[in-house]
Amino acid sequence: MNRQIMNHKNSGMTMLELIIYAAISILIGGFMLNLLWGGKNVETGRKRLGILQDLRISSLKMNRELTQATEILFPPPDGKKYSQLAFLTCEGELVVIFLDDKQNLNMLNYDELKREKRPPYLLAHKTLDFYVSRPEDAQDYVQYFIQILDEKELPFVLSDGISVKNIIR
Amino acid sequence: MKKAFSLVELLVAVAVFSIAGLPIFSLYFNTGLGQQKLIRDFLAVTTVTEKVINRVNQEIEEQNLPMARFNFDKNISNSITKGQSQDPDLKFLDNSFVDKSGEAAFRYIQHSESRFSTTPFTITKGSVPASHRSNNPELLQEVLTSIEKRSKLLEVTTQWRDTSRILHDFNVILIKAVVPES
Repeated sequence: MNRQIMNHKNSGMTMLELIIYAAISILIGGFMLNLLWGGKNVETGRKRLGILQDLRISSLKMNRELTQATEILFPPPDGKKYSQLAFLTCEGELVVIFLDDKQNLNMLNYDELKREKRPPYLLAHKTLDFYVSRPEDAQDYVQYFIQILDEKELPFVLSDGISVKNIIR
Repeated sequence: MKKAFSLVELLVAVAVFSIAGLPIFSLYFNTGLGQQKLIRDFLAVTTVTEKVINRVNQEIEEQNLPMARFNFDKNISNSITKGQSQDPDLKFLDNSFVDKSGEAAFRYIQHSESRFSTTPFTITKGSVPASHRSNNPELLQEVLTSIEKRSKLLEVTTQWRDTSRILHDFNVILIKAVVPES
């Protein structure tokens, strides 16, 4: 009879044990949540970096094309901001950089489009703003401004300028 | 009964695991995020510095930058972040950043300083490959002296601090003939 009572007593938990188990569970749960949350942040950060790196690669591509241009057709050298850039490449092909209504920044080679039906090259997604200007006192210098939204919907700005080398006069 | 963990043992094990594990994971996440911010800021700094040096190059091409012939070291932070340096020599840079493009690019960088300097450029005979050296050492020296007299080493440097207050810097050098050939 005494043994039965003792077994019955040992099968339950005291309040202190319950509190300790609960505390341990919360601790482990909190740790796991922290792990998952941190991992998610790092993953989001990786995607953000990918977007920024893509933008930098696009900027280098623009610079490479632009530096070899033989004529800047648009914008005029008046120091004002314009939302499109049109120039002739060293092969004499017409290239236009523009922002479409889906917030995509595109680079279109019009001659390649006519010849091979090649679609525009996508320079950046989620582009909030894009403008180009040519200072009045430095006509062969083109500067541009691109503002995009990253993975966290935070704005990131890339501002660059390039000297155009092959202008024919 | 002795094979199982006691409550105290379990508690100690969890505490040890938490104490050892949390800082390690915290360090991993913070380092990862810190490096990502560093790369983001580095991209902003490199493009703006490139913009400045290209503009400087263009000014020299247009022969609009007589100050490039002299040695100087100027702080161009106000030109980049405000487009207002109050320095007549840097008006061309103010014009490039008056649209607040520099301020927007440096949005996430709390502390930065950019400088533009020119220093003499020196070249020695050893810089010329042996196969390109003529058998007329006087002529070679004359050419090298002419290059040294006409050229300058132009440098744009940006220093900035990240969120951990660690100092970083990025610089671009342009070696350019700043005196027209007579």
